Amino acid sequence: MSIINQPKDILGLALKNLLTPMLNEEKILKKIKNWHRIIVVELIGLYEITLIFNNSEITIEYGEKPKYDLKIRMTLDALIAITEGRMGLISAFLRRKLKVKKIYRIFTINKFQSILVKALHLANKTYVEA
Amino acid sequence: MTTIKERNIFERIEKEKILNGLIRIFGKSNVSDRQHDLYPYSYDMTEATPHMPDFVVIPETVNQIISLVNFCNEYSIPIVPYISGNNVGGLTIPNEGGIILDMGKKMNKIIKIHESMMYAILEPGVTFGQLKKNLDENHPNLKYGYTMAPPYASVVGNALLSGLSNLSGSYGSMADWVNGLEIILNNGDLVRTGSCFISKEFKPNNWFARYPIPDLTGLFICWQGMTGIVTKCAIQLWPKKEYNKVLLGIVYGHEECAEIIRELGRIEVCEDISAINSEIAKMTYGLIKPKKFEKEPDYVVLISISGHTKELLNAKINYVRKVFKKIKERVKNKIFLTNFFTFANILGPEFRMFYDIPSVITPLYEWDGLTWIGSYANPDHLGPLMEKCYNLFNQYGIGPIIYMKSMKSAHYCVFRPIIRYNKKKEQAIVEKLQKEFLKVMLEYDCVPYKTPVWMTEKIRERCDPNWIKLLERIKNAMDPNNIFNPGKWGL
Repeated sequence: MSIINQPKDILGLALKNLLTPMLNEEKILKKIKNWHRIIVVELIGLYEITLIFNNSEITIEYGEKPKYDLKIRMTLDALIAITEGRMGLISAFLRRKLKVKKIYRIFTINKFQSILVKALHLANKTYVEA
Repeated sequence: MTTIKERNIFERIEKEKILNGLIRIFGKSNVSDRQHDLYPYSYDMTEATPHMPDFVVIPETVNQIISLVNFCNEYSIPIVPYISGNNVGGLTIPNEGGIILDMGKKMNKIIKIHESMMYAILEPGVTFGQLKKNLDENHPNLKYGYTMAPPYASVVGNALLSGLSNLSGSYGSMADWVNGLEIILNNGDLVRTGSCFISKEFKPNNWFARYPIPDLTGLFICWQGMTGIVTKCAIQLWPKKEYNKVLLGIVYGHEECAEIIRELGRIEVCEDISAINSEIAKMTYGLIKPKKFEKEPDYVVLISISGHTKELLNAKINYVRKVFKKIKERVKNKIFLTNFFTFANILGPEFRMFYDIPSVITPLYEWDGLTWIGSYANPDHLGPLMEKCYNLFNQYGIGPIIYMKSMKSAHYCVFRPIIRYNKKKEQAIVEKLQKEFLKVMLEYDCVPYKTPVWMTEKIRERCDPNWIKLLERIKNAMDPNNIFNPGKWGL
């Protein structure tokens, strides 16, 4: 069972809300079981949050940890478009709405984006706009 | 905070005789003088001073209320009209004792919904939830404006107190939508105001306009029940448009938020433009007294747009985006515009409550205390108002909630610092903070609404004395024995 702390900032709280349902899924739990990564997510124009994956624990912190394994920067428009399924991470990247630092960490990117994108799509099913 | 003069209602008639008189009028099961029945009516969620009533009665018919008014007028017994008690202003607290007239329980019929002239005639006890359900099921082409109040709050109460709604950006306050009233006056006369006056008898099909006769309806709006008892109210309904969109502004800076409210209000394409500081999001997650981090946005703005056709809706959305872009280019701090529903889904399903109204806005009910100073304000003053009130919240260590709304194409706006608090521990601090808020707001000529007694005292000190004289003259003329909700506005 994975543990997530209680963040105190809005984006951190939102991310916790997104990830919590995912932690009931066996596939996801397997993915992060022995994973040690520090990933920074920045909404351009707003701010950064850091996700620390440490075995089965995920900690979400306000701000950017100086030593990270991966940093994803995306615009608010890109986040909304990805959530709505209008755009994938790769197309967002190609349209320069998403930037990646330490892009050579292909496996880390792949694992993280599979969790995040699934979480966003799942969240967007809770309420369908009329 | 305020000393209310005590009125001994048993000077002229014994308690037992009053009780018997009330039982004769309403029946035994609709009358009580038992302490445990009276207690819930003695206080509300605000800091207003509690006061026990002497009796509570539950009317079923207009004739019962006429009998009550005649009886009370003879013996100068106060009557305090009560519907759901959800006003945030102590307005149904019986400052001088007397009788609580609880119209919420049994006078709750939707008498008429007129499709083509788009109005509804309601009894006072009709709730927002009840009206919405009725319209959605039976009149799907019509809608009313809904407020961030619980679904069990009263439609008529809100209209009579000039409440705001999710259509106020276009159509103003709910008081503007009152076509007419049926009222019981102090002498027991039953009178109807508005266009329905044109027939001697009650006709449900002629309640379509407030004018063009002398505006007697205004004698009962925002008077807090001090001039008569309203038993019916005709409210305007609005066409329900098929296509709707809600956008979300994410804003850094007080003045930037103020600019958005002003500019989007004036372009006349948004039905609702409401803003609130971002700490409310954290309160929704359950954080008790959240602190804002340096880089977090300051405000969020909910922008509702609708159109009868998709093309109309898209044209409005594009115009809003265009105006937003222009604002972005000229302001100092960052602003963003996005899709509300998708963002709300990311934040969590509970955030729907801010749109799916009427609803219980749960962060407001964290504790047993909730109070605010709601006011009508000059949109040009919003920036400094927001900054000063925000600083006051931090100074007093109370989690800030500041709510604003553009009204009637930004002719004016609503400005409302809101306090949720623990009554036992924080009452004294809240009373002080409220006084500070009022001082700031009066500095900018804000006009408070649903004013509790302590606030009206402050307003009376600084307002036009001739206005007070006129207020007193009208009250004396309409209620010489001061039986209708005495003590409000210092009357």
